[in-house]
Parts: sequence; structure tokens; C-alpha cells
Amino acid sequence: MAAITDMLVPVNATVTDVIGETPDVKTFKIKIDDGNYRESFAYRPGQFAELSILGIGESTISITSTPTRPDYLEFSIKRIGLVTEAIHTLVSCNKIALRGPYGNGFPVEDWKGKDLVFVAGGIGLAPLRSVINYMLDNRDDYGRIQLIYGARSPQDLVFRWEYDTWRQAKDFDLEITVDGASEGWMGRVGFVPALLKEAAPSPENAIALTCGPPVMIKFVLQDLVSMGFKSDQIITTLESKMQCGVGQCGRCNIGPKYICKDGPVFTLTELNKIKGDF
Amino acid sequence: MEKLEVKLREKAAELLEKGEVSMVIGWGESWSPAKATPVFARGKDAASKLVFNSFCFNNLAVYLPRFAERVAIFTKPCEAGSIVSLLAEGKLSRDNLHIIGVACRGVVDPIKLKTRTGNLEELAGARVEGDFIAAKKNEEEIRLPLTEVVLEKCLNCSDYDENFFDTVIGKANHLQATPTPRVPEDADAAWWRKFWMKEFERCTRCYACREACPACYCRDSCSAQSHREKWTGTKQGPEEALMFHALRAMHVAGRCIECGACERACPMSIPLTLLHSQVGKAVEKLFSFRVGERADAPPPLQTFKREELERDAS
Amino acid sequence: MQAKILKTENLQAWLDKLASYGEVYAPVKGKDTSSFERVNAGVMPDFSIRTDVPPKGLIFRQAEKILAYTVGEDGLEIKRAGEEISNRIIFGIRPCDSRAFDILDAALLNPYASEYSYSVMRERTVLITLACNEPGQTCFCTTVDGSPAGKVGNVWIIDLGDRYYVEALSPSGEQVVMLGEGLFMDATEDDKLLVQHKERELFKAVSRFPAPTVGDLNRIFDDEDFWKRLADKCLSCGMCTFLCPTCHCYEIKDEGNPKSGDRYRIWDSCMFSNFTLAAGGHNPRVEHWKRLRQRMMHKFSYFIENSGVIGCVGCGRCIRSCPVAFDVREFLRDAALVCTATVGSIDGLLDRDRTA
Repeated sequence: MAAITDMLVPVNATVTDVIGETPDVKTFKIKIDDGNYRESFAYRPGQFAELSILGIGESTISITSTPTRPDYLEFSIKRIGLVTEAIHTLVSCNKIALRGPYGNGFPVEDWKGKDLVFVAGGIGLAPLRSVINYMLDNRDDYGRIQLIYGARSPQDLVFRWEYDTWRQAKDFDLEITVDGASEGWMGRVGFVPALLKEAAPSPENAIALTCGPPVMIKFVLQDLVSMGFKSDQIITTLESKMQCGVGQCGRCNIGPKYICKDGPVFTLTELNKIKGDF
Repeated sequence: MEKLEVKLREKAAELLEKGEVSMVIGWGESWSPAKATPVFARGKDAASKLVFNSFCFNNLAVYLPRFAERVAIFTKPCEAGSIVSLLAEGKLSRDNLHIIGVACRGVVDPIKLKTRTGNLEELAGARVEGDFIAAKKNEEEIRLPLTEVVLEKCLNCSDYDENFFDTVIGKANHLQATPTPRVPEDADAAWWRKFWMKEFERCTRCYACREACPACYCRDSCSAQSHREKWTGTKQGPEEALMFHALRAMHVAGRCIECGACERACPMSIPLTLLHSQVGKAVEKLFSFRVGERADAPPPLQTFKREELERDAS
Repeated sequence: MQAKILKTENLQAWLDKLASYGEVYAPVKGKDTSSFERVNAGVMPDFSIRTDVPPKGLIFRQAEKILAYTVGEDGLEIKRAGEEISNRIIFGIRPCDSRAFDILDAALLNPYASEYSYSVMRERTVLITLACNEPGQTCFCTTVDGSPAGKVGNVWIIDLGDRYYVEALSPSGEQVVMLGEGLFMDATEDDKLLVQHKERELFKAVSRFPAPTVGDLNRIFDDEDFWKRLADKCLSCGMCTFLCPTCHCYEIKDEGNPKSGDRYRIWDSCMFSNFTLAAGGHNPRVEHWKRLRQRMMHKFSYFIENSGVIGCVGCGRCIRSCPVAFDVREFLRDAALVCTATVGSIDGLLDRDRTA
């Protein structure tokens, strides 16, 4: 019998750094212990992994690092349930178990030569950050990059430590807004869709990627369409309860698709075709 | 057709026609003559689908919390207890209900019938003839006394308070027989433990019993599946199953009317009603409380009275 | 391998010899439920029954240990559960249940990912399928592309009254037939003709009715009233999913403490609301009618779109066992009717391409 590796069994990894992003989000730098597995963990932006705290369970987390920086993996994790609570207690040198990568990811190769518009809300920036940094590492392959990002409050903005790098990058516009300001906030106040309308990105030779809370995505999709973006130019990611990550356990089944296997990245054209419970 | 059935359909059609209710919940025919199926009549024409006989074993009260509009429900008198419990716990509004009590002569327990006849599927033309169930199996006539195949509780049916119902159809005419004891009279805790450990070896903890139960409405909040406090483990085995069923038995104590919905939903045919009737008897004895008697009194395990503490201490 | 004939009185002798291959499971009538049990001196098989519980769990076990973990001074240690699985034979499995494993294969052994324990169990199990001489009233295998005489599994046998006709369908099937060498005779041309005749007769014995196509179901997906009415009586108890030979949704759960424990893969049910409840509280299928729609669509539409086969084998267990007598055939008939009312005549339904 051919040796089959059990896809449901995770491998050991070590936390190498923890960055506090917001009151309930931390970014974990993780290195897979086994060299061979680390080599074989080839991922593309937009894919995700299953992170485990054994004895508690697994959680589906998108990879926020870029494959162009292969020394480590990064996961930005919001404390929202039992497993993520447990992950939040981890510090450098602690062990964590991991399996993946899963999902289809963004077709970044197909977008060479195009302008990119990123529209993100809250922790939704995490999977998009993978694409952004991938493009910055292959800067000449891509055109102008526009990032429109918002969060509930200034404290809820993630990756603040990276904004300067992005702002200094070639042809990179970063626009930030918050739903509600707090003391000392000098920036913009308002919802993401409003900022998007103001920024009015051109659909010409462009791809728009959006990720964030469902209600934000709903409005952003409508707005992008009315700005002239075609359904094929609009990309989003779907969220749902996932467990196996490989299209078997049935939780993320929506229409004939399994979000974990056939997604989580979908074009608006694909989304419009799916009949299911979102 | 039975006279009772005619009256039942007339009443349903009348309520629907007058617009007093938007729907009548009753029983109708299914693929098997030995099994009735719940019917949801929304127009007066659909009222003709309603039937009533000893195969109407389903407790329809389980559906009531789903509807916000005013509905009518046919109920066997004992099952009014389920409605009373739901009212007492604030899950229903009495104003939204038109409750029609139907005089009942006991309902067949499909599990007993299956055990006696082998396979419900092969029972052709199953029907009630007087106090017998008659059917054909492979050309062979089968005739079983009703008392041998009805739910345990039907043999111990008591009179009921007609005032609770908005309409009563038929006259009380219940069976009286001494049930054949399913457990030895001197069964003690050790006996029960052994019994349940054996039965629960089959339990797959699929939770169908809970989902089918009119008294179990916690859904996603069921403590048996709480991720935070792990009351029951993941492993399969009689110990874990016992923990779950004991937990459920305590939660439905003083609220369970022993309708047998849990047992019928069990893919492994575990005799769960035995567990619940045992707990029910204890509640009745300890708290002098009968399930479904008063819609204004919460079940005893949901309240705390000082004298209960003192009584336990004495 | 040439088809064989086994005299009825020699069946037990063959069964005895099969024990040298591995554990032998066969239909056994229990006190309350019938199921596939390991047969030995004390447990006698009964080939006349169609079991209440399908043999699914013999290969796709309800609770499968995936791994064991320990956290010690040297860090975290993860060990894949390496339980030795012996060879096994499922004897007297009906064509519907046998075919259910082909459907499970499509779901669990797909090229994208293979469920490890299932793949091992599947490889080590030989299915000896017994044609269904007495289909029941709730059987509808012929409507979902099956037959009571369907040639599926590794060995196919059919009862001819005083003898069995035995045909090996795979190398492992040949192997277990060979174990009974000396008990078999070669089948004659007359035997073969008789078997062909019986196959046709049995196929006709199960009533066939028009079922909806993928296109039909996609058209009624948004008809909320249809699904709500359909789900009126459904208790969402999930019993059907546990007794379904093709349902395979699962959950991954840990059992243990921070120091040591195990992780399991356990059957779950799409009929439960918490099945799709996400950590943040989002739940796309809170309403029970949406869950019923999901189950029906998955079996009769999504599965066909993804694997080319219907996700149902028509065994009728969900009909027989449902506590409120929900009848999936009614759903299929109603769905087909609702659609023909808008898209054409009912006559063409049977022969239509299911993926149309």
C-alpha cells in the first residue's frame, strides 16, 4: 500500500514572535519544526491553515505572511472562541500544531501588469496583507496599488507598524478610516464604503480585492459594480465555519462548493452563480 | 370512516374557514398504515387529510414553539401536558393557541409493534379493530391486543381536565390494563446502573433523542455540547452516554410526559422512556408534582424552596 | 475467474473458511435493532433481513482516533493513531449498501485529500454483495440509478433457491472465493441465463418514479415556500443522517487535558443547527428548513455536480426509521412535479440527463 499521510494530523511548529495588534488581535510568527515539512509547505497568498492547541481544538486561520519571505509564517488572530483564546496565551518558544496550506488562494500570477485595489475592514486585512507584501516583493510585476482600510476604532487597526513601509513603497496609496474616532485620532472618520466612493478607483486594467465583515463586503461589492468594475475584476473571500479544511466534513458546503477547498477566494462572477446559505 | 374523524375534519375546516387560526396541526396518513404522520393544514381543503386513530403516536406539541401565528393543534389529552409545560416556561402564548383535545384509546408504540411483528414495512393494511390491531404480513393475518402494543403510559391513563381545551372531540374512553413490568420490582440502583450501562453501549450520542423532544428546546445552548465546560467527553462508550442521558433526564424531569418521542427517534432503539418515567416517578414522589397539571407553576427542578432543603436534611 | 455455483448447504462452510482472511461481518438480528455484527459460533447471520443499521460504520467508523498527543519537557509530541486494522469481510451486504461505499469513496478519497483511516479500512475490507431477492416497500434504489441485483462490491452473489451464483468482481474478491475452493462448481450457461433473467425481474420489482434533475433542484432552490412546507414535520433530529449509508459529515474533537490526550474524527450531522455555527456567532443555517434543504440538495444535486453520482442509494432507511414518517420519495416526486409544472412534461423525466 502506498504510504498515505494523514491529512488530519498536524505537525509541530514553534512560535518565534508575537506582536500585539489590537486589544483582541495578535500576530504570531511561526516556524514549522520539521525542515522537510517546512519546505513542502508551499502556499500562495489567500490560503489558510488549521492551527491547533491540542486538547482544545483547531481553528481556521488565514496566512498573512507572503511566500516570498519563506523564513516564517505569520497569522493574525482575533480572540473570538476557545481555540483563539488559547492561542492568545502563547509566547515566543511555545509550541503550536499546524496543518495546511488549504484553499485556493489568490491567482496573483494572473494579475501581472494590473493595478490593484484592496478594500479591507478590521481583521479582514490579514489575508490581503499576504497579497500586498507579495506584490511589494515583486514590485515591477504589478501596477499601482491602492489600499482602502478601515476599522471600528483607531485601536482596532491592524498592522499599524507596517503602514510606513507601505506608504513609502512605489505607487502605493494607503487610505485609512475608522468608524468612530478616539482621542488623539487625526485621521478620517467614516465607513469603508464611503471612503471607497471618495477614492473612486478606476476599473481600467484593475482588480479589486475586498475582505472584511459581511455587511461591509455587501456594500463594497455593490459600490465596485457601480464604479464600473466587472464581476470578473472583483475578488472576495468567504468566511464560514470550517473544520477539516479539505472539503469533507461538510460545514462550509455552500451550493456545490466547499469554501475550504474551492474557496475561500471567489470572483463576484463565481459568487453570483452559487445558490446557498451565506 | 370513524365518526371522530369526521368531527375532527369539520372542526379544522371551520377554524380555518373562519380565519380563527392560520393552520391546524394534526395527524394524517403516511407511507405505512401503521404510522401516522404530522399534518399541517393551512387551508380548509387540507383539513380532509386529517385522521385520528391509534397510530397517531406523535406528540405534536414539539412543533408549537416554531410558530408565531395563531394555530390550532389536535392533542391527545396526555400530551396537553407538554403544552402546559411549554406555557409554564414561557415558550408559548395561550392566546395564540386553539387546543383541541381528542378522546384517545391509547396509541401504538411503533417500536413495540416492530418488535412483535418483525418489520413495519411488511405490515399490509394495518388498522384498529375494536381493541385489536389487525394487519397482514406475508398473507398471514395478524391480530394483536391493543394493550400489548400501546405506549406504556396509555395503560395508566387518567382522566383529564376538559377545561384546558378550547374544543373537546369525543368522550374519554381510555384503556385500563396492568402493564407487564419491563423491569423487576426490586430493581435497585445497582440493577439500573447495570441495565443502562448495557443499553448505552449502543448509544452513538447522535443526540436525535434530544432534538426530537418537545421539552428539549435549548438547541445550540445544550450543556451536553458546551465547548467550555465539557460535561460529556468525546469518546464513545456507555459511561459518556450515561452522563449525557442522565443530564438530559434531569433537565426534563418534571417536564417530560413520557410521549416516547426520544425513543422513537433513537436509531439504536434504546428504551429511553424507561429512564424518563423512572425520573418522573421520583419527581412526583419528592415534590408531589404532576407534569402538565398547572400552566402557572414552573417545574419543581427549576425552582428552589427552603422547605425542600429542610425535608432533605430530615 | 469463471462464475461459480455454491450449494445452499455449503454456505456455512464457505463462511467458516472466510475467517482465515479476517474478521467476518454479516447481518444479525438483535433484540431491538438489526445490524452487521461479527459472526462467530455464538452469533448467527440472518440473510433474510435488510438491516436497520447500515454497515457504513464498519469502514467509516463513528469515532476514529486521529492522533495522540503528549506535552512534556521536550515539547509537544504528536503521534498518529496507529491502531492495527485487520482484514475484514462484510458478507451479505445488499447492493445499495455496497454502492454506498463507492459514494463515500468519491467524498472521502477524492484526489484533493484522502481520509486516512477510511482509505486503510476500505482497502482491507472485502464486500460480498448479496442481491436483494425481497426488496421492501420503502426501497427505491432503481430511482437513484441502482438495482436490487446491482453488481457492486468485490464479490456478487445471488440466491437461486437451492444454490447461490457467485461472481468475483475484483482480485480481492477472487481471493476470498478461492478460500472456498472445493465448495464451488463452475456455473453453467443455464445458470447464467437464469441469473440474467432474475436480474431483470428484480430490477422491475422496485417501483421507479420520476426524480428531479440537478437543473430542477437549482430552479426550486429559492422557492422558500416549497422547502418550508417540506420541512414542516421534520424534527431535525438527525436520525436519518446517522442511519444513512452515504452521509459522511464529520467533526474533529479533542479529548484530554493540556498534558496529554487524543483527537477524534466523529460523525456529525448537517441537521443540527450548531453544525455550521462559527466561533464569532455567524450561522448560515439556523432555520431547520434550510438544513433540510441542504441535506436534500447535497444528496440530489451537489453530489452529482461534484462526483457525477447521486448521493443516495435508495435503501429507504430514512423513510422506515424517521420518527415522524418523513418520506424522501415524496420530496423527490414533489420536486419533480413542481418543476415539470414549469419546464415540460413528466414523461421525459426518467430519461433525462441528471446533470442537465
